[in-house]
Amino acid sequence: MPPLLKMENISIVFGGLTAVESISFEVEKGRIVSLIGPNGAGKSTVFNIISGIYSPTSGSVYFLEKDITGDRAYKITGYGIARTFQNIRLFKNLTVADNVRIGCHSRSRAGFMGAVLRAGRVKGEERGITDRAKESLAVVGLADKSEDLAKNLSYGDQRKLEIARALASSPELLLLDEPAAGMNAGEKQGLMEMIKAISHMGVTILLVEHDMKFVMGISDHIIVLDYGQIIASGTPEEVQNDPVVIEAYLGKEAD
Amino acid sequence: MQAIIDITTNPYYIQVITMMGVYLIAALGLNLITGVTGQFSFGHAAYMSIGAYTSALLTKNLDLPFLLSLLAGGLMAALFGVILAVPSMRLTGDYLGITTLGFGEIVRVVFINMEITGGARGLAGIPRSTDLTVVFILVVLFIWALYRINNSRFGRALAAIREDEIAAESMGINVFLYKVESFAIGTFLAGISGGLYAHLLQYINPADFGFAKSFELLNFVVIGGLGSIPGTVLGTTVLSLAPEFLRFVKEYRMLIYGGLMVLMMIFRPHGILGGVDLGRLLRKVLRKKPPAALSGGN
Repeated sequence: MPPLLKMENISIVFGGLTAVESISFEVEKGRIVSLIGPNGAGKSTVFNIISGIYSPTSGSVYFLEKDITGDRAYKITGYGIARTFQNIRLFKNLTVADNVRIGCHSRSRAGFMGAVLRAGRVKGEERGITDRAKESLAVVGLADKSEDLAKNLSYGDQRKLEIARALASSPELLLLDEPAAGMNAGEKQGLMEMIKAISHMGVTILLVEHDMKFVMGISDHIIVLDYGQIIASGTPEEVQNDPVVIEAYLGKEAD
Repeated sequence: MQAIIDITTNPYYIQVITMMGVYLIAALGLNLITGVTGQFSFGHAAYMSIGAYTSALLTKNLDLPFLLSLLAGGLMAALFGVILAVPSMRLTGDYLGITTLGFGEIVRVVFINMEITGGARGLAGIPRSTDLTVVFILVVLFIWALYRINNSRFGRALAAIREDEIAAESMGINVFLYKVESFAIGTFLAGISGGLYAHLLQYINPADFGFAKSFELLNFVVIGGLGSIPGTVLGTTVLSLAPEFLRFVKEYRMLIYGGLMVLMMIFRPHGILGGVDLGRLLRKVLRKKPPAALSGGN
């Protein structure tokens, strides 16, 4: 079976600084893959390239064997890639329900005329959006907060809402950028189970995370980045015992 | 009681209220662009002037029916709205504000120098076709349509752009296209408003649509509460009637008007109804679960 996502020799240069250099990796369908590495290694940059916020300087991104390199972000969401953001980017002054309804955007069609005339087809679509939003909120356990404003949610709930909003677009691939950041141990445990549940629903997951216990506990496969290059990849056990990885995180032992 | 009879029969009051409705239509358009979609526009009066001249010239010179000329004025304004929006929608915030301000001035200067518009002398002899009934019907129609827009996939996408453009794009929203659409609808309403204005006053002059008018329209929207339709109605009502009712203080009236604005910005910086969702408030008061809400779950 071909890989769901394939990155081929991806490089990106920001005004002379090479943030990501010649990266190639694949993500197979149904897996939970983690991207780790020290601060500034280029993890979020890789996410921004996959989701279309940045266009790579060279290299290609394939999703379901289709070349999606340089396509605009809104199109990429339509192909079936959804994401969350490291520094939460919710629609703060809208309700929880509307945040998730907006997540359904790429799976619905009604435009300006549809809004004004509101024919039967549009009404049916609105009901579908509401149902889909309801399901997504139930997955993350926020169903009872649907009428709250997003900005009034607790930090942990805001992170969950980001996941629900991404899920609403019915993605094949879900990109989670530091989902556990700022959470306490109990919340992290809950999040881990939630991600596993989402994975069981058939969604492939690629995540960036700093918490090693979290990453080791959840990943099928780990890719380690340092200075914009892949320095190791493999199962959690393989990566944990790799001397190159230990060096990147802890430094070299003095002779 | 006597006061109500006075207002409904006195032609002066009828004129003031009709004019208020005309401005309200333009303000509702601006509210969609600035309040709902979050894009600055400091040249809204220019679109009013495009609608005003287009429809006035059509009825005056070509004897086109009034309502048809209004529609043509609205479409012409929307066309120019799109022409401005396409290159400038990549700009945000202050930069977009300056671009729209510049566009507004260009339009004014073009009308001053055009032969067919009567130049700086203005355009006179426009038939008086606007009355309170037409304005009232149009106001109701547009408010109804805008409410539907706000509670739709289309309107949610516009609100998402206001809240966070990058997140909106990542939700699958073609941010550029939606901004242009929002601009087209908002400037269409300004064009309609301009057509009504021309056929109410029977005389238009480029100076009527300078940047002072654009800022006045922005005031209506900001004072009422950006993004709120009831807020826009309230802001337009209060601010367009205030100068009339303050006439008794003669030359001090603009002073008091200015003072009121300063107080507003201190005590209600988000506008009178800014951040107030009347629907949500009502549901809370009635302690009833909203029908379309996603409450309950499992």
